[in-house]
Amino acid sequence: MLKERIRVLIAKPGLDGHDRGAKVVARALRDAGMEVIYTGLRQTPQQIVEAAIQEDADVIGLSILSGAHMRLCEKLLSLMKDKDLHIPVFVGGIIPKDDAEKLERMGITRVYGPGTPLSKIIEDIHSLCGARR
Amino acid sequence: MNLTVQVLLKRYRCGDVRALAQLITLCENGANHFTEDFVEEKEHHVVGITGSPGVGKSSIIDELALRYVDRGERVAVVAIDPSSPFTHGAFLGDRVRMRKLSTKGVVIRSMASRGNGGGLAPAITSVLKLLSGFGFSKIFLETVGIGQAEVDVANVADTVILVLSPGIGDEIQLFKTGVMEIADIYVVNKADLEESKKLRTLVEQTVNQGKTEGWKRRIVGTSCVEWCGFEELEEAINEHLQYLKESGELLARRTRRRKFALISRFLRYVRETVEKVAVEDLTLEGLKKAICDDIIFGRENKKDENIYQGGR
Ligand SMILES: Nc1nc2c(ncn2[C@@H]2O[C@H](COP(=O)(O)OP(=O)(O)OP(=O)(O)O)[C@@H](O)[C@H]2O)c(=O)[nH]1
Ligand SMILES: [Mg+2]
Repeated sequence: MLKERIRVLIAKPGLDGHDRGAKVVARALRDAGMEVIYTGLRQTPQQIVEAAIQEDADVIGLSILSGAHMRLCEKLLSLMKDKDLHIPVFVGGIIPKDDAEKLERMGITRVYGPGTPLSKIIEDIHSLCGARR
Repeated sequence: MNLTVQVLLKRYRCGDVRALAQLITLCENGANHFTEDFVEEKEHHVVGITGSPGVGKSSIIDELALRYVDRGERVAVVAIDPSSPFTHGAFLGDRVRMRKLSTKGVVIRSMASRGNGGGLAPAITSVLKLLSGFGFSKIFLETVGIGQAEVDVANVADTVILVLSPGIGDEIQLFKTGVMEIADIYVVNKADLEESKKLRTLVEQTVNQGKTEGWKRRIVGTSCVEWCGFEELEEAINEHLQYLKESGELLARRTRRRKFALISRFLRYVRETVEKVAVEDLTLEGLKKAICDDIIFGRENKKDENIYQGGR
């Protein structure tokens, strides 16, 4: 029987050391029936893209609190383009409104600020991946 | 075979990791029949690493795999974590402890157990075949953190390593069960902790008792904090592979894996068929009839076609 599961790669790029937020999101996605690949702290964009390919992820979720979101996302998106990897990328963290808009224009699918309901994230992933699954 | 699989296989044969990953997903989703006829196994060695949750399986693989990369081997890792029986979701966290590998060209695949009770995942044998056919000569297989009866790894791996560590609390439990008997190599990890010595003595007293011929099981102490014991562990693994080849045991284990694959596949098929049998026909005769019908009408094959069509 075909029982497909949405696979989400959750990564924490950059140098700050808190992954509580990332883990809360990871657990919520798991409880929503997804397979969540959690890669842990201090991942380089290169490592994240490699992992997403090896794991055949449907979505990448990034948690960025370091303030380096513009640089990290730019790097990640350009690496993805090089690898011809076209999957949605979510970013969660403390990101100023202007930057959030810039990121979305750059190619990040959604930016979630603090306090975003988890149900919203789950819903978005379902609606984005539903069509492919 | 439909177009998606054909295209993916072509890219897979050219060494495209992404195609490999996508084919693995197909296998996970039940469309694994193509691996039987269209994927050719190459020379490889599957090292199964099992043990209770948190004993250090992933940390050990991180160190061990790196050593084989340095010897020029192509290394892959498959790490399995449990699926929730209620939501079917899974938290696959083994990559967190495999940080060195991500920069060394080692392919790591995290898999959810998807309701499989034996400590592995339903697609495991197909996935191993895909990896070996891709050219990986050393494949590390981390099982779900086992409790007591999850011994499927012994049906699938060429070399079985059981990792133990102090402070987990259920070692004594382990000694009582079958898990203690399945390993070729015993690793007492966290040698940096004082209580590790006591555990090692206990393992030494238990293992090899009354066993004289064949492979002499090895016991190795390691620490992923002080980086010790890995040379000895690598040596033990190499010696076991040598033994497997010389004794003919390797062939026997491969046959066992194939039987296991067949049984798993058949069980799944039976389970699905039972679900389709009407309530009044829930007898062995009823099941036999349903299977015969299936064979006569070739429904199995048709269903596979559909699965391929449904693949990405
Ligand atoms: N002191 C000490 N801690 C260790 C050692 N090896 C691993 N650990 C720690 O033990 C914990 C579990 O390690 P993992 O490698 O994730 O163990 P695992 O068996 O893969 O765990 P699961 O996959 O969850 O079953 C981590 O916090 C490691 O840092 C060791 O040799 N000594
Ligand atoms: Mg682990």
